[in-house]
Amino acid sequence: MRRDRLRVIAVSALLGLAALVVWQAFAGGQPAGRGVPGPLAVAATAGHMLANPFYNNGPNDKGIGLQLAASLARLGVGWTVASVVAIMGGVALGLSPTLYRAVNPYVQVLKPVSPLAWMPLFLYTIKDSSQSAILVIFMSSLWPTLANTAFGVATIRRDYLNVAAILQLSWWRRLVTVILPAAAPAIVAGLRISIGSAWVAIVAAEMLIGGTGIGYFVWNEWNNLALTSVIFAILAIGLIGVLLDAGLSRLSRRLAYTE
Amino acid sequence: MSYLEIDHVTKLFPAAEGGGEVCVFRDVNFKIEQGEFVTMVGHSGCGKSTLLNIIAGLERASGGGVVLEGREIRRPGMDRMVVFQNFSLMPWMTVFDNIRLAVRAAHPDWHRTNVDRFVQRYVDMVGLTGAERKRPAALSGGMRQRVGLARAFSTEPKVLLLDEPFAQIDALTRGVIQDELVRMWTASRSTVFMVTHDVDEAIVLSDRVAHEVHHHGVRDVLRAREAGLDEGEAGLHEHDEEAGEQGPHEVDRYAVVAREVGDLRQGGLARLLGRDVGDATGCRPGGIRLGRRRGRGRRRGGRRRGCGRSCGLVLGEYPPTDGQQACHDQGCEDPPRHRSLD
Repeated sequence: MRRDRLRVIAVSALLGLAALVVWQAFAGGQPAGRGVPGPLAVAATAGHMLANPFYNNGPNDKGIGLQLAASLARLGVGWTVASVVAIMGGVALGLSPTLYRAVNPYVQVLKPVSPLAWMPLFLYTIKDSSQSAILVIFMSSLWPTLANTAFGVATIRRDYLNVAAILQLSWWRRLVTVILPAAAPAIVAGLRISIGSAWVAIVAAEMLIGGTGIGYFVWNEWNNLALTSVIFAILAIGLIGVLLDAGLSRLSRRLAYTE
Repeated sequence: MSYLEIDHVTKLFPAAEGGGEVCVFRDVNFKIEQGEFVTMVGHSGCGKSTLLNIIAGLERASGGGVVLEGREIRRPGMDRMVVFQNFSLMPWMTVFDNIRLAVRAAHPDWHRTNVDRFVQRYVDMVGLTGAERKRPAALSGGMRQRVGLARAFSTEPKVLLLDEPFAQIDALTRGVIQDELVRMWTASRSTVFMVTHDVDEAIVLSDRVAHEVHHHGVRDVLRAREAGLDEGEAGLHEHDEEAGEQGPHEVDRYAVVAREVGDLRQGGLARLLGRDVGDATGCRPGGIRLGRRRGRGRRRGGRRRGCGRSCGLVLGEYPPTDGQQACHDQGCEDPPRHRSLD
């Protein structure tokens, strides 16, 4: 087990190193100032940016830490509100087959719509770009949690609900002690998908609205032709995505149960 | 009026195809007195679990109804607890929390410490001390059903409904838990209705055995007792009088197997005795007390509860030694001392 692990880590490190070497060789072959910057250049920029991540020199010059924090704040608000709404809606749909079948066609139509398609509508109605971005996050994290919660609640074993019925639990206690814990694994799976797709959507949304956020940062650096910053931002986005997923994965392990 | 009346209950299900309805059973009709332990024996799929669910209030009858203490049952309630075949413990809760869920539901006004003490008492009662913090998945089937029993008894229900509670427990553990059930039932004196397909289990545990809910209606449901008493009149008479003196709470456990319940006799008692018993009336092995019955019959008081009234092997022509042998075979802890059936 331990040996396997070591072997995996060794192979993984070797592959990463090989990729870096190839990348550097490719970038080094290009004339200076043209083509893709190599990993060494990116590392230099990264060191520079991480040395002072939270500086603020006006609207177009903020540290990467501030930009990421702005994105995470939007994500936090949009995703949390969407999750609460989706879980409540999902529980209702899961408990009532009639409601589920009645609502399902609408969900099916709305689900494949890119959350960015809502952007003009939000901008027009609420006339605030930052809130519109939050609403885009809301739209992108709504459907996976809704669908998973509805499925999780609908497939709760009849026995558990029977026990709750015999014990005459109030609807609130039934929700808190039986329905939500029983559906928790499915709900958390939905939350994980949601937070992933929300993190994907926020970059594009912030490119559109401008101002702050990691998406805006990427677009701004592109306008500056600072490709090293763009590449570093890509890595940072990926890393934050991993951390978000890891956090929910821990939650999922805590709430998992075997029958 | 009886304590629990199953009054011409009919259950129809919509047919799988072609519309119409399928009759599960029709006009099931019997009564259970307070403190009785009644078992219904029947094949898998004959509708006995459906009947139990109707009594529990989890399903609605298509016709007829169930009346408990003069009130019709329409929905599930704390006065009727079910012990399920598949245990139905909440897998995300610990043993302790599973029982506490029930105790809190039964006593919403209790203080937390009070609830916890009460839960602990039932944990100890079923011998799960030390396993309180475990989740059901970490327990064996037998231990899980102990939690199920503790959960059911901890609410102190008027009626306990057992839905094949030992079917998923291995044979070695089953006996131990059956004993535990009897012990808890004896202490609580609640009314019990159990369904099972295990004839021996029915005989071992119950006051009365009801036989099979049939597709076309009920045959012989709970006629067993009356028939048994007729046939075994001589042997049981003395005890019936005594039961009358002791009142309804002193109804003891015995399973009478009579002519009408043919399958039961063939499958159960014959196996029990290791021979063909003809039209005999029999008793559960725990109650076999050949030759002692008369002597102890004159006594009064608590000691005769339980096994005491369960009579001997009544009627039939088999010699007492065979009865003794059967008793030993069944692991009876207190074999008869006298050799003759006088």
